[in-house]
Amino acid sequence: MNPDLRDFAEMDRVIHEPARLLIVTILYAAESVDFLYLLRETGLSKGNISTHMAKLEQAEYLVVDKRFRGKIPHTVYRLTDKGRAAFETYHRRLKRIVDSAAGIVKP
Amino acid sequence: MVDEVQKTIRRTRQYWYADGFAEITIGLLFFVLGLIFLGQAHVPARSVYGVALQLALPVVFLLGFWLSRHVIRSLKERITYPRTGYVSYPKPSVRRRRLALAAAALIAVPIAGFLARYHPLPVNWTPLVEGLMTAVILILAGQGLKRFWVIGGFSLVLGLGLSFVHLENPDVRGSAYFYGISGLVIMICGLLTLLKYLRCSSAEEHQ
Repeated sequence: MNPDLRDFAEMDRVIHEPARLLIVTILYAAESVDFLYLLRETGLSKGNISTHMAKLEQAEYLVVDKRFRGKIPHTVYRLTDKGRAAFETYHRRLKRIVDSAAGIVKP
Repeated sequence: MVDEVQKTIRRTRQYWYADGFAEITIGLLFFVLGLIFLGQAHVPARSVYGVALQLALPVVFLLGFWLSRHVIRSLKERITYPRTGYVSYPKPSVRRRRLALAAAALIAVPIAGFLARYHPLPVNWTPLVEGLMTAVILILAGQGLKRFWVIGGFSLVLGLGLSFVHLENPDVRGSAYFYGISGLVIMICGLLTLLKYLRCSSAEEHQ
């Protein structure tokens, strides 16, 4: 198979969904992030974020830490090593595809 | 899309500076250092006060930097995180620390060599070196934020300007004016950022 096409075929579908890509990118840049920050930064609804988080948790890409700040529940998310590696691979492939499309990568 | 990923990573890292607390705290520390230098310029070096101020300088410097992180975190816990969310950052990796040390050496070694070769200089080099180091640190730490480029540039210009001013006891007074003025400017920049942040975040809450 053409290596460029292989990159397309092997893109991680868990991360590839735009909202999840945004969430994973934010989590990648930080050590941990809470629900409120994700809500503000992504502009997604609470339910939407919860659904995406459940999918990422199911793929073992993130861990959820539920704490209490005083009497208020405080949910903090962190990427696992597996999630971090998956994002790095995804980002590398995406960059390769974009570079290839722009004709930067020579055969 | 790749650009969007980079932008999102950068924006998340810049969030540490969104409230201006980092600048307020570091500016305050610089201002206090400036006051200590100014005190040193006004009392005889061998008097009790002179010795006390000399001892206070490294203590305030080291303790101040150590404390500032805790103060910033505590302020964020009370003001920033409940309004716009919590983000914690990974500690810099060993590679990043080595790079920072290498960058510092790359700047410090030629300066030291230049000073050793052309000593004594016709200008007061202390504020110039302080300005250069402050500018580099601010720009590197600022995660590409424009205001850090501005205050970094200001520190460099201030250091350069002070190095040409003829002062009595030039090393100590030069440092006093440099830390005092740059500290004040950094603090004002932080306060303006905080005011903007509070205005924007309360407007968001109303929406």
